[in-house]
Amino acid sequence: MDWLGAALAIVKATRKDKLHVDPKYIVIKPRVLSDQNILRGSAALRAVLAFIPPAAVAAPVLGLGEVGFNLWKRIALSKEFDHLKYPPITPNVLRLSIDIDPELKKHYGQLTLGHNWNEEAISELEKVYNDLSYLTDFELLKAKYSNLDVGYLEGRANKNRQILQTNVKTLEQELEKVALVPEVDQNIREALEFVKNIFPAMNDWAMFNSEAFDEFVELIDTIV
Amino acid sequence: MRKIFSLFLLVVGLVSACASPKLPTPFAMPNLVKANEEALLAWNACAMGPNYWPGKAGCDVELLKQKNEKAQAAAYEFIRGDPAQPQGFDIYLEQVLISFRIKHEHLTGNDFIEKERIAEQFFETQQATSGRSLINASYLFTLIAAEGASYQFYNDRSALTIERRATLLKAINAGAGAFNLVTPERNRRLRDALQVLEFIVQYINSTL
Repeated sequence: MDWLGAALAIVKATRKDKLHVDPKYIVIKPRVLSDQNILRGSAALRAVLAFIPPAAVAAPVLGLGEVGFNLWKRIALSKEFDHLKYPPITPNVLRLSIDIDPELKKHYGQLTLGHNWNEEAISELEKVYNDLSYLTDFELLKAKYSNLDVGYLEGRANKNRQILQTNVKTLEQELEKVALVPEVDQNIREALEFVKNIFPAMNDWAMFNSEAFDEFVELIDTIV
Repeated sequence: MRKIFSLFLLVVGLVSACASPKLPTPFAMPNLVKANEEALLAWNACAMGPNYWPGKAGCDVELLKQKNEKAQAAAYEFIRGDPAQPQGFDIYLEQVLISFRIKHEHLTGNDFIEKERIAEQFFETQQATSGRSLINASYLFTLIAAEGASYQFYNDRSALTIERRATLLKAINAGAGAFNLVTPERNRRLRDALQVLEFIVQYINSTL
């Protein structure tokens, strides 16, 4: 290990003139960034980590138990461990879900019968079921699945929207715990209102997969 | 400056103290992270939104299976090494969900039981300690139990006994506790799993 290099890096990282923060971030993360000591500490930690082999860092960090494990994942992966945005559907749950839904069984029940149950049937049903599970736009569902009952499709679209809205509500409650400054509170509320408004237009995967959506979720994750 | 140097010495001390051969698991961590990353890359190459798409350009199904198995094996070493710690459980169980989708034709009843046992262990450990991964553990336990129970519903109904009902009720309670606390995409899966589990519990009740 380059001790001199590490020591110099720490000194450099913790110099006060290196702690300038863009005001726009202060609005977003007031509690973290208003605390100069935390900034200085994290800068020092980053400098130390740069000079120590990853395997050596892993031992003490993981020694902290679960908190350490999550910290390590952040260090190792540079982001929260949540790569699987859409969990894969599990085939037997898919099959039974179709069978216990009268409308879907009426139209797709043939595919879940024992002699028809194969990869081809799963692939076909997976697309239908995922559309009905995630799309929030009734018109799009109606256009794609004209064979299904209109009232049923409306119900699915509403349910999908409700699930998204409930999650936003939960986020909102979490944010209320940290948004102590009125100005920040107002910014957060406006952002959440914006997200609520785009739900009806969230009619394909592009919105979920867009960089803007990722950034927004990441931002909320950082705050809470 | 003196404080910073003390902090630095403390970090170095911790590194030296903890980097002893008595703790072999942490040193395997980079391998596990790498195996997991490779498996997820292979999965993403074969996924289109929420759909598995083996025909997608760039998708190599055999590679995906290999990487998935490798990541599961690496995570299992962590679980075996120290079952009291959550290290490895989440990676293992996330990879298990992928394996359910890509290897469903080759899975047997015993495979489901084994995976469910590990998911239940993760949930119980987290519940007992009020661990920070409790929501994730609840979510994974419910999904994996639902898949195993659905498999039994179609292939081995004699396994759906009153004892089995107790485990399924535990999975339902776990899932209900995590509902609305996971991402919207996961919430949908959780909802489906809960619905299926409730149906199977009703089925067991009707056979009593």
